[in-house]
Amino acid sequence: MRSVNPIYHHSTQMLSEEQEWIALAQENPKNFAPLYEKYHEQIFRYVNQRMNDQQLAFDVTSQVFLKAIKNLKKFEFRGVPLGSWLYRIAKSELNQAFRDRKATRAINIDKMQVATFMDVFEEETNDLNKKRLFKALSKLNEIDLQLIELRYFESRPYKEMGDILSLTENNAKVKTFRALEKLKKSFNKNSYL
Amino acid sequence: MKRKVIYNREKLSSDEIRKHREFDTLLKSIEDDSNVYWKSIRFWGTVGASAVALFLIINMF
Repeated sequence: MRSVNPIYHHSTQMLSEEQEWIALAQENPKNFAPLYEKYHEQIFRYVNQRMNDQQLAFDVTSQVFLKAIKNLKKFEFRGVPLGSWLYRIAKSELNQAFRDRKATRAINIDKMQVATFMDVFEEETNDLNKKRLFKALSKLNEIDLQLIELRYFESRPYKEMGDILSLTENNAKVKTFRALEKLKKSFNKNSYL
Repeated sequence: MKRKVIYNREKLSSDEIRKHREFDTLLKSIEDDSNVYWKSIRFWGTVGASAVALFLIINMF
């Protein structure tokens, strides 16, 4: 069963508590502390998953919170957790790091995730297929790669993916399905590696 | 953009990530940033007014 991010999925009570924290932080940046503590780890993991350099990932994470605090007055509460706004800032900061600091775009994948793809593709998990998958992943365009990462590497539900990528839940679902089809097609093209 | 596939990278524990939480440093850099004079409205107001004044003086003579 797909795991659910407990920090992202808020009850009404948690959302209203967060709304109070945001209002206090908008008055004084010092009051941002509980929000920083709540989201620091998940934003770092999101950034680190896409970077090759751990120290740079910590730097980018700090930049995300710096920007968030500076722009918090512009933030409007729309019934979704602050996390989705922070992820959007993280996405933009990551792009800036790839562009300005010439950072390498990492695609982190583990044994279990390789096995999941092999199940989906109805292929055997072996070294050759692993290489075919890696090649197919590295050839995906950035948007498709993000969809695959959010869904298959980070196990996020479509609602959360939509909030992060500014898509509707249904659109996120359709686009992820298409991205998976493209990945499969590219994987099959690599059969003579 | 360079891309690299990394297989089975060791995952950082929550404790290790927590060690890098530096909220006070973050706040300090925001305060330092807001104290930079050349970024202030006052600085750019002065620069703007001086430029306009200089333009008028040059045109007068």
